Amino acid sequence: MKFVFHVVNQGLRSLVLGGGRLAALTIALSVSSAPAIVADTIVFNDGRRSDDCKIESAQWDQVRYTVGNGGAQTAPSERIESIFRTPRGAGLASGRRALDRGRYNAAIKALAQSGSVDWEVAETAYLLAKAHEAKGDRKTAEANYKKYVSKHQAEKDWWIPHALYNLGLLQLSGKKAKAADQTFAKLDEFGGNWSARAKLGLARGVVLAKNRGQYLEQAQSLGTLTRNTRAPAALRAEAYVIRARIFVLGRQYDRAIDELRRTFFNPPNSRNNIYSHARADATLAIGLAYLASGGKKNLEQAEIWLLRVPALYRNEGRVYREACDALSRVYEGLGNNARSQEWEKRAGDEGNSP
Amino acid sequence: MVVFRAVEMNYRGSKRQRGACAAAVDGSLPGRESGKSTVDSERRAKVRVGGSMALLLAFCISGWAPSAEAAGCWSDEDETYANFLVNQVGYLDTADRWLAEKSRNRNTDARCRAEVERWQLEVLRGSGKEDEYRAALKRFQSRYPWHRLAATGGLQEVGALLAPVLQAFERAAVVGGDEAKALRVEAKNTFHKQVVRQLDGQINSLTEKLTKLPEKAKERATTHQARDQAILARINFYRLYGTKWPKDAEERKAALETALELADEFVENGSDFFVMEYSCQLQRGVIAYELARYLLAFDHLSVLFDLEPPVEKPYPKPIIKAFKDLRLQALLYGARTLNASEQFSETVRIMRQHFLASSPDNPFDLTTAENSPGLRKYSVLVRLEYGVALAGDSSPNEGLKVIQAVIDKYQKSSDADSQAFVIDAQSALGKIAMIDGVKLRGQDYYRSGRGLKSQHRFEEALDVFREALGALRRRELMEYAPLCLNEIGEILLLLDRNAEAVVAYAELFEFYGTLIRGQPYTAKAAQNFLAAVTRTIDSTPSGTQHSEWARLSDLARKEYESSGGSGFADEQARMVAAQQLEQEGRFLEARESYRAIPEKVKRGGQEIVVPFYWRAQANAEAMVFEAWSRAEDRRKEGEENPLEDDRTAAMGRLGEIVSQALTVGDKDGAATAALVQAQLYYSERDWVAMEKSLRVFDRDLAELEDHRCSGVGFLAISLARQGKCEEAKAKFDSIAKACKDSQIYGPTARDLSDCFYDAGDGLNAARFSYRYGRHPSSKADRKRLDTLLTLAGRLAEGAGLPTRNAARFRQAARKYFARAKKHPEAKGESRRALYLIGSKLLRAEGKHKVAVKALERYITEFNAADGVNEEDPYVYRDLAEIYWTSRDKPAVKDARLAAKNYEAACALLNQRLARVPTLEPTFWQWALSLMRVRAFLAESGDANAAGRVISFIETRSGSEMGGLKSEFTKILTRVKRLN
Repeated sequence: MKFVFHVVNQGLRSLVLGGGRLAALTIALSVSSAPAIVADTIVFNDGRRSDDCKIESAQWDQVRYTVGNGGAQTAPSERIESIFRTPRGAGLASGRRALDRGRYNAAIKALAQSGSVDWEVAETAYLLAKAHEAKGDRKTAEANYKKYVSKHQAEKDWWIPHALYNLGLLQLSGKKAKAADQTFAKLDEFGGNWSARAKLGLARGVVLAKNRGQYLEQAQSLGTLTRNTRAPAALRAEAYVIRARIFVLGRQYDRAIDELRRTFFNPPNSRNNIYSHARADATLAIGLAYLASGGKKNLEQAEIWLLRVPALYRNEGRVYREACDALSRVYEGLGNNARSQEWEKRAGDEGNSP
Repeated sequence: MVVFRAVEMNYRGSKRQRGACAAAVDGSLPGRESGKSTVDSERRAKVRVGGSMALLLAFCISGWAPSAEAAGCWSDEDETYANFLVNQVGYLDTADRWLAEKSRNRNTDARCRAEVERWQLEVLRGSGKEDEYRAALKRFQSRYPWHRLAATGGLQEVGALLAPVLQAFERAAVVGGDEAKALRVEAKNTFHKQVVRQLDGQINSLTEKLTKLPEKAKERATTHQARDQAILARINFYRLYGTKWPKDAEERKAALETALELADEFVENGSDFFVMEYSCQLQRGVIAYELARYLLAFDHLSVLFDLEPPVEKPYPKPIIKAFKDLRLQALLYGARTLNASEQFSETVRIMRQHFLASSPDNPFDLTTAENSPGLRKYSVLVRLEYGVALAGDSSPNEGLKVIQAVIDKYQKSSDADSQAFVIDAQSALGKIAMIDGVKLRGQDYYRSGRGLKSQHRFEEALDVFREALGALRRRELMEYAPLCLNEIGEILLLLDRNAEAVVAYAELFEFYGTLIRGQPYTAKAAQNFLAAVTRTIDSTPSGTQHSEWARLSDLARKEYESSGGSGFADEQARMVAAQQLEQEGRFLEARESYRAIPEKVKRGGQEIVVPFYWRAQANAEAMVFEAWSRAEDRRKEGEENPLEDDRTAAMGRLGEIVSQALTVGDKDGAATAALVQAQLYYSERDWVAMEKSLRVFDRDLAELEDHRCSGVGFLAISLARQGKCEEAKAKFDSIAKACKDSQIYGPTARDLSDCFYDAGDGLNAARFSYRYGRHPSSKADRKRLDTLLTLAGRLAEGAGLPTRNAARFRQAARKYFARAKKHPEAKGESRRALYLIGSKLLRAEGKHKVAVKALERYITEFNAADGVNEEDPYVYRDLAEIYWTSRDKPAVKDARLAAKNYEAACALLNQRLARVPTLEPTFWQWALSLMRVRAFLAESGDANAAGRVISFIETRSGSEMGGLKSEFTKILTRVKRLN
């Protein structure tokens, strides 16, 4: 009982917000705003993965990083499939996520905020261009890629060759063949895998332009790349997909389908069935091959293959959009107009999500 | 002790408002911020905070003017009875008359008069006489300025005004659209024009009063505290009101801003009552958090992380507990604040410093808080936020481990709290997957997806499972890709996106079919695959002509067979299709589909029997019954049911199916047919025929495991309905253990309770009511008032009987009684039943005097002697039992009163026998009790009593006396020996 009124007139302010406490609180808050040590991720071409490293610097030719309390290590970019750096700024983090989820407007909004450190500023600028591209705003995307490249090329930012590759493809799809050639020529100068990527870009250009005269040459060039066991798996996988698209354009549907099935959908080797971007693209390519083949049975095959994309690869923006569009055509071919319209709508909805 | 009693008294007065807006008055905080699956947890959290705040406030309130119950003229018994009449059974008229009698006693002092008037105020408010209440309250305040109600009465009144405002918001959330807008506008007007205005007025008046009071006035502390309490309530009201608005509403922001401003002012100005300041400081933090001002929120909350009571050491245990609770809440919201602003590393640091650091000398050590039931709730929530923070702080594996540990710990327990913790943990997993910038391993995304799926956030879960697939590395692929594909397929099927579900399952079986053979989920996945492909074919024009769907249908059938299917996938698919039609209410089409299943099929040139043929035929007949029932519902008077002949034919066919199925050894088919037949007889209330159709479970199907629960359970029901309680009980006991999870358990227990109750066996009636009430199958029934009243009544009666389960029965009865009271239909006739149950509970709690008072008043109020109301004879019986059993050895005076009341009870029941013959066993039970009492009186020298015993028994000796003849004969012999 007696303790109840002992503290009359001794308010909380004097008890806990007094000088000492307030000072301690201020210190705690200032500490909280200082950058903390965070872990990054590096995925190597051979499938190894380092989840608890700290990337000190990431340039397009090499990455410096530390693991635990060990000393700094350097890895040539040729050996690295992808890197993931934990951002301190909210804009980059939520922008990345929105981009992954196909919420392009949200991604653009988030990425409009610049990062707080150099690499974040650079990655934010790169992803902003990518978000505009994914949304279908080619003009702004192209301008943003160029802006990013001119600003960060000197510091050899990790994303420079990626940006050039995307820019080249964008120019191709905008029917700016000459500009695309120049961009891929620039990319070729990076050597190694980027040189191979430049070839992939040119091959994609052939597919987009439907340039029959170059089908054979590009198919052979890509064939060489697919057989190069020293090239990263992702690169080879992409080469397979583009080559298949060329086969389709050359009306070699069975060949395209066989090669993609053998490469990506071979049950006895299902350990290789990594659910990568290339596998999503390969799924789409098989569907398109069946669609192009025509005939009821092939359309039915196309339907099944294309349906795998929304079911399993919904997060792959471009692939998803193309699959929806192709499904609309498949159903039209099968005489099911209601479904055709449904998938046409889904294709249209993609990219316009908030 | 006095301290806590004072708190209890203070809150007892405001019980009703607490129901509606307890949070506002107590200063409760929301426990959760997530979706609907955590609503229960939130409710628990609110209750918890209310409790802790009440405990904290105890230290303030103890200094109030002493409560009058200690005055002597107003006894504990009076307080209990007043509470019983006003709050428990709502007999306001009775209460009013009784209080009027009390107030006529001129010998009472002022304190006693104040208590009587306090309850009279309660009666006025309970009657909805708001104006009279307000006027009376003013009189009360001027007459008894030292009484606690004089200070807080207005606050309670405003609390009552807030309740409909909050209800309007809840309704708006349900209805949506323009109606929701209108409701919100109305609520806004009420809040500002009535709630705030009145509350402001009260605060001003208390402030004015305070300035006028001399420094040493006795009333000063009370008034001061009442003023501060009103200010604190105003902050809570604004916060509650604000958070009810949608997130982006201007009104939300404005209300929360006001709440924050007021809270700032309160803490800055300081209060004489430290607990109120701490509570307000916590509010400041939570309001800032709600406003997404995270830095400010953290600023406010962090000062409470290591708060100690400003009192002398050693601290009393309740103080330690209350401060631990306060610290945990501050840490929880502090962690949420930091996590919301993505300051994960800071959360981790704070958790390690204030929550995880063990110190044996520190009385506020929180490392073991989870072991204390009162602190467990917030302790677990804090731990989960720590897990989220670890994941956000680039240690996703560590974070996942922390959360997984919570799941592992609590998922084994089936109690509600543990289950809520598992849901909380799954929700935390989902949070991790949604953290921007967190890159998880494929398997971690898989677990997070499971968390989202458990919260029914299917679209988000789908995204996360797909993300998991994409993130799987080679090492994880073989283990997790099939799991992810299975989840994707299942969710797509749930969302009715059947074609996409088919391709997801196709991917699962085409690529991982061999690998997943024998896994726990494979059989279900194969069944879903088959269902998805069947639905897709059905919904596609010319679906059967589609080469790919046909191929996948074959694959699905093959997988279904190899994962334990019956070898009759085509026929099984037809069964699935028939079930689908049944679910869609297309009963006659379903009947044809069931009938189309062949008895034999050719396999490899040989004819083999389809094992579920007879089950399909039984189901076909069941469809006739379903169609007939629907037609019956729609039938106009004078019309004939067009399916009457089909139904009669179905009855006959079912009997044939049973015997034919048994002949070919198809026990499953026979059991299905027998159950369908029993269902038909049940609908006709033909218990004898029902029993006959189910006796097959005693003979030919005695060894059958699959349908044993249903078969024997229904058999017990048919027996109970015929009054064969003991045989029914034996049947129930034979399956009780094995069928505890069966749906039939609850209804069987209910029927047994009815059977024993009608037979006058109160103990068994209570036992089976207890089982029925606890079984999940009674959940829907328990929402109905009649079920609640029955449960409460029988359990209360059982609690008053000599049994080791008395405490358990009493506790359960209290629970159902409380729910019945709150039931929206608890008015009119049912109030009388509530009154009676309330008195039974008083008796069961040993408050015999109060129970007698309550029952005697019932007799006067409702003219029970006329026997018009159903409860009347039971009131006399209860009264008699109290007199007869309340002492170890009855006094002659009590025995006389018992005899008088038993006589009245028997007389009233006897009048009813012609109308309700099932009451006969009860009548004889009561008569036997009456004879026992009279025999006791005879043995005490009452010759008249002896004569009446002899006369009663001898004149009825020709009958069976409800099966109790031997008991009556024993009493007769005993009494005759006296003569």
